[in-house]
Amino acid sequence: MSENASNTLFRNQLTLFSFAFLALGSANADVDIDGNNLRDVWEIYYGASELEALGDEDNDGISNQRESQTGTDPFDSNSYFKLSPLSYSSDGSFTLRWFGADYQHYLLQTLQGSESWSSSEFIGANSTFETQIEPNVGPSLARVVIPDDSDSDGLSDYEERLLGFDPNDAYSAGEVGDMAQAIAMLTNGDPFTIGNASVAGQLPNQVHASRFLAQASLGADLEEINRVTEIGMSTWIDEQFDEAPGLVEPEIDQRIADALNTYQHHRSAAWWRQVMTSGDLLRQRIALALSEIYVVSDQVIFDEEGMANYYDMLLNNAFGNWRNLIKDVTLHPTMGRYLSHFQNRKADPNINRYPDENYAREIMQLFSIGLFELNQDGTQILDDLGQPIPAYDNGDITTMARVFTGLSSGGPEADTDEPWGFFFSPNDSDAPMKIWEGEHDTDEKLLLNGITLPSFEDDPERTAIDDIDDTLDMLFNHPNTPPFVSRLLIQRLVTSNPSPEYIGRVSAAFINNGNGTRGDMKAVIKAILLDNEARSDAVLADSRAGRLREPYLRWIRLVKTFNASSEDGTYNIADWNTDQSMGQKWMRSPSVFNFFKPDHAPSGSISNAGMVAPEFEILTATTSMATQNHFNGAISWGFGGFEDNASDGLHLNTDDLLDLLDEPEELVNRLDLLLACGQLSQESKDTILGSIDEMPNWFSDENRVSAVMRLVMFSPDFSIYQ
Amino acid sequence: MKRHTPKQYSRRQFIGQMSCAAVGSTALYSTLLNLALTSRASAQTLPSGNDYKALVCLFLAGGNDSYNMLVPRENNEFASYQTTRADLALDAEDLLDINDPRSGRNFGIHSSLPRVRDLYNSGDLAFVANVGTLVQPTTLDDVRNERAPLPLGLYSHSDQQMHWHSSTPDQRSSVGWLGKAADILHSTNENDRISMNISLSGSNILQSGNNIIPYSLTTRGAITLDNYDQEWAQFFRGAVDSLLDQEYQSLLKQNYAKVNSDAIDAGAEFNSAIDGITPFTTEFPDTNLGQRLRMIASSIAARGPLAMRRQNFFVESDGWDHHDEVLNSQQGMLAEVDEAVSAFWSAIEELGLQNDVTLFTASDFARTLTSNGQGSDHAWGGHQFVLGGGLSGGRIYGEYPEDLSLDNNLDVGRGRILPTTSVDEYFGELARWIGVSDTDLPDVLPNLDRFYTIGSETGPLGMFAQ
Repeated sequence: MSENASNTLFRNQLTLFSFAFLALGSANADVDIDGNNLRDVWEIYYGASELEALGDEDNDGISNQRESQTGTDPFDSNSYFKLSPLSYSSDGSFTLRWFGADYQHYLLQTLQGSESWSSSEFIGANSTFETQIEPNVGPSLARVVIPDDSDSDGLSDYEERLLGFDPNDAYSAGEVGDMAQAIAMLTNGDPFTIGNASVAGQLPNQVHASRFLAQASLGADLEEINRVTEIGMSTWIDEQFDEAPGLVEPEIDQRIADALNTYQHHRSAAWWRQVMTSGDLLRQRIALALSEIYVVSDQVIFDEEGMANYYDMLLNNAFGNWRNLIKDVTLHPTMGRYLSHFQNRKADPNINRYPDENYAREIMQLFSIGLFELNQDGTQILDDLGQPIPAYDNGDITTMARVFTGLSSGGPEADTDEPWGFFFSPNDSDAPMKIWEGEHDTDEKLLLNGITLPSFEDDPERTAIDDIDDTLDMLFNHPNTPPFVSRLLIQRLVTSNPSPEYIGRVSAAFINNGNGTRGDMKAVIKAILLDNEARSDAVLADSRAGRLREPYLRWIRLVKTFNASSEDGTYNIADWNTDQSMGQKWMRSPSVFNFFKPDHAPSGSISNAGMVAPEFEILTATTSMATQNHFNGAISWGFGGFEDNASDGLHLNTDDLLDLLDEPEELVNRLDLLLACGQLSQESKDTILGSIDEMPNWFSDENRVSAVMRLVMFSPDFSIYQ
Repeated sequence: MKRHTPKQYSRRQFIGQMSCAAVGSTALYSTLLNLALTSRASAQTLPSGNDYKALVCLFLAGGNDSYNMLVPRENNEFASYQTTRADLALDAEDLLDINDPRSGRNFGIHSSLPRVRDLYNSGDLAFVANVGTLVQPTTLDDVRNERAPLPLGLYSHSDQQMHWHSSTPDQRSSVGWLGKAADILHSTNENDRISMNISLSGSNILQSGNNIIPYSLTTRGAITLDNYDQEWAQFFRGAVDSLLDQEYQSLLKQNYAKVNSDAIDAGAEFNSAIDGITPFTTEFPDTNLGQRLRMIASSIAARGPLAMRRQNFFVESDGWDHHDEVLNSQQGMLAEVDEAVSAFWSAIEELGLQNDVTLFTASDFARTLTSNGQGSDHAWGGHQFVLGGGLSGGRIYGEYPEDLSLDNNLDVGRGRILPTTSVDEYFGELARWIGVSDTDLPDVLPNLDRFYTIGSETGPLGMFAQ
């Protein structure tokens, strides 16, 4: 709460406090892409983009930053939010005066005696309000309040009015939340209206585009960065939503059809081909993030077709609905094997056999609702003693284990009418698991939150899939799922420590995509990427912002940014040992808990600051060095090739960089843009530039460029993405 | 544009200067230097001397089905075991018979552990029965009537691993008891560049203290940064040092830089120390675990050049979460443990450190006695073994349940067995052994006094003569 002015007066029996202030939460109602602590819509409306937050352009005693929060004119010394001195009449009434800016609404609130506050609304129009308050016996309070963000969509009320949005509706402007819509308008290059004026739309600069693509893709070259500067981010996302998925399995199926041996590295090469050549940049990024939440691992699943099909399932669901995603995950035979609900049988107490609890536990703990009851903004709901409230207990797990019984092989050859088919149907890696009703537990099941699945005796129409669907519906509609899933996705794409407001906005998009649909992944993705916390340069100065880039993501970015290629066009990228060296490899997590856990907090300053840093769980003395050495190998020598033939080795394409070597500053700036999103500090750049002069005389141009690339890849400014 | 040339000092020289100078700055390049200042003022360091001790934690991640590792063989007990475990029960011929002189009862060890059985019989190894996470002494009635606080996230991997590492199951803490022990004991070591906690399995909570983080090794020793030490790459070294020494506002960048600079400082020193040791005549099995235990033995052999008086090692064996295929998988995996641990012990014997090195196992939890048709699910109390350190071996500490029939007086459900010995008692025994004083025990194991009177003559389990 920021108090703007207060006048206090004691006068006989009547005590008057009058003050004006912004309502709670004002600091978070902000779109500030240039990170100058001045609200962007206000900057455009008043032509104030050159001002500094701490300055006071019109010398009215109110800082420019405060004027941007209250919506007043920074160039007009009469326009500011402050109560004028009170004037009194002999009858005891008094007069309040304040200046009401364009598009700003004010609430005059009075409290007399023990009554509750009464409010009246005043609509500002660049003029002074004057209102008289009648006398009353006893203490009186009067205040003027600016409701800052009535619909909690992250965009202030007056800015919403300036843009023609509804300040009381978080989805007033279209199929994305108002903040995302405002950011889209501000950065898509099309003209739009602020107040009554049409303004030319801006487009992102290269640095902003690079930063966006660091979140929204696995790697981007200069061409892609420039494309975003030409069409804007929102349009780019819309285009990406329409890109067909670059699937992994077809290449595997072709090998199998050709009767070729098919191993992990073939699947890896098939995936790399899609990462390197497919146009679905955003989908590939989201699917990789999903693979680190809905984890299966080729450390224990030795079925290349099944692993490829699972990943393709994630690609296909990346822009779909979460409810379909969780069903496809649940019924996928690869997940069934990984978390052992494949061939899970109903209880037989006579021989002390009970349903496998593995999937029941992890679908709640890791895939949907998490351990504790959550508010929509991802903070924990606390009990009377200030303790978090478990979202479920072990009894809930044993009950839910009974839901996931009866599942076994799918596919055309699996006959669920044949009891032995449960055990002996041939494996079909591509088909969802089928259900053998005779192996399914048909008793009543009391799930969470009082939801009960009736026994099949009571409901003869019921079949096993109803149990599963009802259970997935329960998880889908659980209040935890939107914040739990939103936070995990934000952590994968943008920042380790999103604010509760950010999580809340993405949750809101999960709950309702603007058309009343829950679980729309497109809405969630837009809310994540078009949020001020993802887009504002203000985070660059925030000691808590950003994330350690996953080592494997740094590796992909290197390979992709420089369009690595081989003579024979294959992508036999030698990274089969990166799970050891970097602690990470595609689809090769050590357990269902992913390579690192979302709440990992390294001891010391990060933990002390109440922050988490998941990726630090795999940053050790060993992996830190081995990761850099892996990069070095690729940068200095080329990499890959395992078909016993030199033509499948890969090389980074760095010709553009060699051309820049005569202008070393240009070279470093280019690498800064391509890799570090323009976040290399001047000091880091100077260090790297200085090292060029110190390189040995015998270094070739290639050696010099390689050394500069290594240092950029090593730098904290690249490794931590803000 | 004006260019800065990178600073010309080497990282190691600079640190040498730092540690000689009065430490006034907090912008340290290795926080290990800072430990003497940040450790609790009252912390009791060891009396001076040149003795050596090391703890080695072998963590069986995923939850070892330890009710098939150590099986009751008294007639009635074995019959209940077989009934309850049904298709998961081992036959008598799959077990290696041992006797526990404390209780006088007979037990069977899984047949994949013949060397462990030999070490038990030679008195070098002991079991600790039915140990698990507990917030306070707890009975089955307490559990049923919700009268006692239970470990948070009971039966969940991530939580129970965390609790085994921290020994504070009433909270979710990312600070481990061996980390806190090292916070106190680290100043015992002259070496302030390499952590006294060394991990062969990356970062872990167990070894992370308030100040100490584990130093990570591979089976080949430390990984060093390519070219950093090469004469022609001075430019590279200078730039790397400058990038790491830069002052960063971002906490993430600060920590990233610190991990990298610590790794650079420690790597070359560590490798040169282990390169100098006399090779073992013992052959280690060529398994992941075998080779990691070989590197631990090598680090112990290099304790002189590394200037280490106290060390803690951590190695994790993965894949014990046997929801299916428990019988086959466990058979192979226990054999790998058997071979690796036995080779490790021969190497320790070569070094003559049988009384100075203690290896102990830990695991998330044991598994349900009952089957899910393919394997077993997450449970609670289970069995561990401890090797070396001069313990009184050839016996079973703690209390092995006398009745494994379902609904016995420790069965929480489906054959999840309520622990009768807490991790606090188990670790209290080990913490005392490595040299944590009675004064410091409450800091290292804050819940220990709920189970044990600190200051007693003997340890909580009485395993080690004090």
